[in-house]
Amino acid sequence: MANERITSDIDFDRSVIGVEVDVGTYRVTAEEIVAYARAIGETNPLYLDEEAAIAGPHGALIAPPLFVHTLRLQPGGPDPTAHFGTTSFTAGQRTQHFEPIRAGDTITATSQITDVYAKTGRTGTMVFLVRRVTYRNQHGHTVMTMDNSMVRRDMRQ
Amino acid sequence: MSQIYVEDVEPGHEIGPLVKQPSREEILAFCEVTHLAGRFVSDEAARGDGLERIIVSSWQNLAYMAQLLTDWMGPQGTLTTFDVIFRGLVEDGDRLECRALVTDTPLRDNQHIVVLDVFMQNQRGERPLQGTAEVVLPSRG
Repeated sequence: MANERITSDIDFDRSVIGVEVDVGTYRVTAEEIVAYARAIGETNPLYLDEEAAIAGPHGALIAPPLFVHTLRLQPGGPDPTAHFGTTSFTAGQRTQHFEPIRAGDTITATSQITDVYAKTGRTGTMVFLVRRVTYRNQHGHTVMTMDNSMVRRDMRQ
Repeated sequence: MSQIYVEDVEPGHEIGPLVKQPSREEILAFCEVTHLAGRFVSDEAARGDGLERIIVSSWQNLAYMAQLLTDWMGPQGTLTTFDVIFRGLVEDGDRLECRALVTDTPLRDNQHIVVLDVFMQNQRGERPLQGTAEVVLPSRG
C-alpha cells in the first residue's frame, strides 16, 4: 500500500491552513446536558442529576466528555475546499480534556484547518482534512481541544 | 457511584464490555440533540452516499466509548486524552461491545495516569473503532 502525502496533486486553498477563526459562542444549560446524556444512555448522576452533581467533586452538573458535539459550529470556518471525492467520513478524532464543562458555562469555539493530505491504498485515493476546534470557557480557560480528521472518498469507485 | 483508585489498576486490567445496540429510534434521538442529518437519519440520503441504509454516526460511537471510561473511572477520575480512528462503519442494528485494556500506569507531573487501549467490536468480530485513552485516577494515599 502506498501512503504518499500527495498534497501537490490536490486542488485546495492552502492559504487557510493554520488560520484560526471564531465559530460560535454557546451558553450551556443543564437541560442540554441532560438531553445529550439521555441520548447516549448515560446513567452517571454527574451528568443527569443536578442536585447530586452539585454535591459531587465538580460542584455543578457537568457535561459528558463529548457533549461539544451538540454545539452547532457556525458556518464560515476555514474551508480549504478540497475538490476531491463524493462524500466525507470521519477518519479519526483526538480530544484533550482540561476542565469539565459545567451547566451555566459560556463556551467559545475557534476552528482551524491543521492539515490536508492524500493517501492511496487498495481502495483508491483518499484525501484527509484535519480540523482543530478549541473550546474555551468564560474564564478564558481552554476546556477541550478536538482534532477531527475527515476523509473524502469517491464512493462511485 | 463507586470510585476506582490507581492502586486497584495494573497493566493487563480489562474494562468492559459496555454493550450498546442502538435502535433506529435511539439513533434518531441522538441525531436530534447533535443536529445531524443526511445519512444518519435518512435511508434515502444514505443510499445517495453509497450506503444501504442509515449508519450510526461517529459522534454516537465515540460517546459510547467515552461512557465506558467515565463509568469505570468514577466521579474523581478524569478523562484527559481520547484518540480514536475509525476503520469501518457502524450500521443500524449492529451490536457493539466497548472495551478497554490498561497498558501502563505512569506517574506524570504528580498525576496518576492510566493509559488504555480502547476498541469497539461488533457482532461480526470487526473493530470499526479503536484507539487509546488516558485517564487520571485518584490515589488512596
